[in-house]
Amino acid sequence: MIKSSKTGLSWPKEYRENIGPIAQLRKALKLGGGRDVSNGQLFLLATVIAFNEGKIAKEKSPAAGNSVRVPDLQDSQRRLLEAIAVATQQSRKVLLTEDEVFEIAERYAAEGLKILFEAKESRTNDDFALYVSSEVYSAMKANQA
Amino acid sequence: MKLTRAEFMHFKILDAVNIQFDVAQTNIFFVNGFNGRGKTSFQDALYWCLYGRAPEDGVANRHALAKKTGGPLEVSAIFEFKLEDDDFESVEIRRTTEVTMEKGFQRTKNARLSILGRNPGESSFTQPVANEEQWIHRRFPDGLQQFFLFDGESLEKFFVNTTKERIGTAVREIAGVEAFEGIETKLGLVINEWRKQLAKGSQSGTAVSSEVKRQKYQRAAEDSRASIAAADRVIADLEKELAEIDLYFERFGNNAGLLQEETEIRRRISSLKAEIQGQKFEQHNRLLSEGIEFAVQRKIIEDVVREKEDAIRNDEYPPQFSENLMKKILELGRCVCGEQVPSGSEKHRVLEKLIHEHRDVDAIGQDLQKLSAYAEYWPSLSASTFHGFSEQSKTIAEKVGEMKELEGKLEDLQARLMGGDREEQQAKVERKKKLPYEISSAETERNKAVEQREWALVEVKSLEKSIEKLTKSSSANAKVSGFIARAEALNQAARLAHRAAVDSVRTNLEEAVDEEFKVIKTGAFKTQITDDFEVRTVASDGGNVKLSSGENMMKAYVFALALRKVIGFKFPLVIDTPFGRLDSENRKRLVDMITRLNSTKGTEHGNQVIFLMHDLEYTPQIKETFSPNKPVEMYLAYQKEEEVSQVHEGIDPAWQQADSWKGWKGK
Repeated sequence: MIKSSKTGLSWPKEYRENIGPIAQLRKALKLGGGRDVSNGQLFLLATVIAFNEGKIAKEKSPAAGNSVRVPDLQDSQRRLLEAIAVATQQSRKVLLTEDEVFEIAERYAAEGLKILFEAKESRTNDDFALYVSSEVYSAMKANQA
Repeated sequence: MKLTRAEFMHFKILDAVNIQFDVAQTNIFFVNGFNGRGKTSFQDALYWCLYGRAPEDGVANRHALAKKTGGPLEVSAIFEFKLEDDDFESVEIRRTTEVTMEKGFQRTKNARLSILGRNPGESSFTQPVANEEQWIHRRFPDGLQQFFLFDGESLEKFFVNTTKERIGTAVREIAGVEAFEGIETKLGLVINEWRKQLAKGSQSGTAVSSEVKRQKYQRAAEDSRASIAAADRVIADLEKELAEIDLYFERFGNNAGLLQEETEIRRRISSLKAEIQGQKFEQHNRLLSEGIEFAVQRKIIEDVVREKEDAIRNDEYPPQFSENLMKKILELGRCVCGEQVPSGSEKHRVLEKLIHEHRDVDAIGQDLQKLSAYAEYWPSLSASTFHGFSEQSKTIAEKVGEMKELEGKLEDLQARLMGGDREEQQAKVERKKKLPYEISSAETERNKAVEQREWALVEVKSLEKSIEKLTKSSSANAKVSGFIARAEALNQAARLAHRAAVDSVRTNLEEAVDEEFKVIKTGAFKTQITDDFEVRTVASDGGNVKLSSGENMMKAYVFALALRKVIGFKFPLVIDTPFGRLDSENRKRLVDMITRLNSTKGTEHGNQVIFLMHDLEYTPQIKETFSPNKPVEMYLAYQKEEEVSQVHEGIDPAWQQADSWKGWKGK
């Protein structure tokens, strides 16, 4: 695989300068005490949600990353993004360039964010957080069948 | 004293009802009706009017209260009595209050009691009675109400509910104990004065100081006696309070257990809520950190596996080709098989072309290998991770289930607790817990006072002896000593008279109960009222005679009537369900007893009896038995639309449809 030169994965263009709403989303996803949900958790969550719904952004994300630092990605997280890329392209050839794998993930994450913001609109923070985790749980359960 | 009129406005089921009791005609009145027609409301109204005690479900008529707009509903109960040897010929006792509905409960305010008197020749009640509550207490003593206003159903427990202390109080009141106690006190003061004179007359300083001491100890003994009496009053009051709480719970149901249960359920629900929230939060945070990876559609794993299989089919997997190794071979000019591949040769060029062609396939294969390993491991890791979450979800669901069940229970409990004054009930529950400790503490105080009194009396006796030795015999001293001896004899006589008065009332009561009870029960027994006012039925050997349930109920009737006779108490006997659980034989006996009570004296002086009965009590047979007394029969007829009952004379026509009255030919 040709390694990516990116140091980080990116949120969509609209959050290039102002990531306030994303910070609020991370805060809203927190339940009880402790720290807010990390950028990495939110990125993966958004990616998976959009992938499961078959929604992928047409536009590429900005080159400079402001979401997850690439060196911070764990092996299992890299494999997850690679598998999503293979499933999206229906070809293992996507594994040849890391940039393409990341780009696919970024386009899903962009759509995933929209879905999350929409879900947040009609709910209180706690209800929204519980709604998201119940969706994650349901999706996990569906995989056990 | 006779009840001549009862009038109700918006009082429970009795609305705009006016009942006239023609006491010139008879002393026996029956206010009959099926259940739920207002018989108990009649008694409730009497309780409320005389003692201000409102029934648990409120005083106001529900229908009238629901219809009332623009202000509170005025509720009133009026009872008119014809008096004998009193300030007035007749009085009208009226209690009114204003009622509003708040949160499902009736709230009352501006309650008023008024008593107006009327003298012979006057047409209306115009003369107000001063200090109404006191006036009522003198004529309808609160402590004696159970001897004239009771429910036949509760007679079986009469001697349990009727505390000995109440009977004792009644007997002491009749005997006029207070007057005798006053004589004792006054004589005691005179005796002390004479004793002082005697000591001074002895010319001995020791005798004087001993007398001072003696009087000090005597005062201590008297103070202790007062403390004992005070402790007795406190104990009696506390026991009375306890009995009243028991009576309250007996009447309105003991909600102590329910209130306790409610508190425990609330506590458990609150703890469950906290546990559920804590577990939900913990699960949520774990799902976002460990679960996302396994929330992605399983299809991605299947796609990876499919790509791997395709790579195998195309001989691209596992990657066997290494670009670096091939380049090294070319640099060395020799293949692993030993064949020479010199630079610039045809074989060298072919190999170089092959390396370029397979380089990408190799890179993909290497990444696919890592990805396949991940895909292989993913299903089992996903299953075990999900299992952990699933178990946690089950625990949460169980707790939620338990909480819902408890919430249902709580709702039921609250429904059962509705209608009562919860705060009042809770206060009574708490009070009942504390009362035994307060009684025990008062008993300890009493015991201390008894010990102090005994010790003081020993000292008094001892000092009396030493003063006697020191007192010189002289004619003056002999005179004073004579006074003292006579005063002490008088004091002793007062004490004996006091005792005799109590004994006399007790004996009269014993005889009155015995006389009537012997009509009911045959056999060798007598009624004994013990020193602490327990009413016993004893055999010739002094042992208790075992009475049947019916006999116990009859004994209660007999006692209530005997006490009235001994006291000279003239309030009408108002009894709801008078036959209670009496069998036919005892019913007949009760009728005989009531008949005797009225036939021995003229209508003017006899006891007025008001029975509130349903169709199974007042049967054609009972009617026949009472007929010589020419009772006035009334019945309560229910008007469904207005939710009220009206009073009419005679027998309810609807009774003729009831089994107990079928075939009755009268009108």
